[in-house]
Amino acid sequence: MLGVLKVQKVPEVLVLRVQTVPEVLVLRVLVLRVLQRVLNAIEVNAMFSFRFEWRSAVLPAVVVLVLLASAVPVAAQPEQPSPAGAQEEFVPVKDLPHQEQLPGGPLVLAAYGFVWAVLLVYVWTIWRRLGKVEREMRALAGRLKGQQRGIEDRM
Amino acid sequence: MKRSYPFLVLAAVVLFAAAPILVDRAPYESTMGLVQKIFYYHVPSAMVMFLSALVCGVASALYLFRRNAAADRWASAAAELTVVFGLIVLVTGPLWARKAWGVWWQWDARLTSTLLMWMIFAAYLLVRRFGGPGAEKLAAAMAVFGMANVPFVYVSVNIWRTIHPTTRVVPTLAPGMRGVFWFAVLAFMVLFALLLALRARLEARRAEVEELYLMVEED
Repeated sequence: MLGVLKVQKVPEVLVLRVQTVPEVLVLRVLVLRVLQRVLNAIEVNAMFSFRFEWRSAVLPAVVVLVLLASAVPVAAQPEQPSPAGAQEEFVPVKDLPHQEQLPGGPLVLAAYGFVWAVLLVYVWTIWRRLGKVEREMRALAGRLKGQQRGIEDRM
Repeated sequence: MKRSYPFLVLAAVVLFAAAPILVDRAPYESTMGLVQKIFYYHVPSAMVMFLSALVCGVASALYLFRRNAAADRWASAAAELTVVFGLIVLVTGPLWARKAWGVWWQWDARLTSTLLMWMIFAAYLLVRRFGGPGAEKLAAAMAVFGMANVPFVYVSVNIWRTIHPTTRVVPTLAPGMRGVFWFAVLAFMVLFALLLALRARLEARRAEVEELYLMVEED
């Protein structure tokens, strides 16, 4: 960006060439400008005491910190293996030795068996709970009839 | 409702007996082979789980805002079915994944959100069972949140980067697989209707028993 501004009056071809400056160089220019602004913020007077302009120094400082923070994860990234190496190590499933291949049949049967087992157990629990509630209902209805008969006899 | 039971039982038995034959005859998927046939149980179970969660959420909202006791009974029945069909989804999925992905489980968006949704409905049942007086209202509110989770679980595969296939799989199924898949969906839907009706009947009977207890104590 800074480089582009400096050469704006030269032919377009040159501007294009300047735009392809490596990012590291642009970053260095930016950091130098920021440092310059920080130094400008410090005013040294005749009595050798200095005054610090906080307002003008805060923004450049934040920019530097953000740049440093963003550089850390980039530096910490592990080196990617080359695609050529990965291609060489790849072995299709059909080419694996027989003992390393996982058969699909038992997995399909396990899934199908599990579906049936869960549904049958669930139907059985509903049937059992329904039977229990209906027995309870019959017992309560009998007790209620007995109570009503007792009341009628007393009257 | 009672008259429809024999029809529903017959339909569920016929559909479930015919499903394995059709699944066996369905064409093999080129990369996964035989294990892809878990798809015919896994995906319909997931569809029923979503439907059941929606039924539970709507019925719970009706109970919360209109104090409709019948809606609460339907919500309770649907929550149990959400947990049952969710369990099928969460078990058949890893059985398929072990062969297709090489791992039983992956903490990606679809799998994790499905597990969370299942846990919300399992918590609903626990709250109703052990929550004491007033637990129905708390459980109903949980069910509304559980229902709100359904669209997120469904679109999670399209929004976030995930190992699970996207929602484009079913609309683009090969003609030989499409018929078998929708047959399996129909079988699961009929079974869901039958189980929901049975489970709601159980809740209605329980309500009658409570009324009878009150009458016996009053006398």
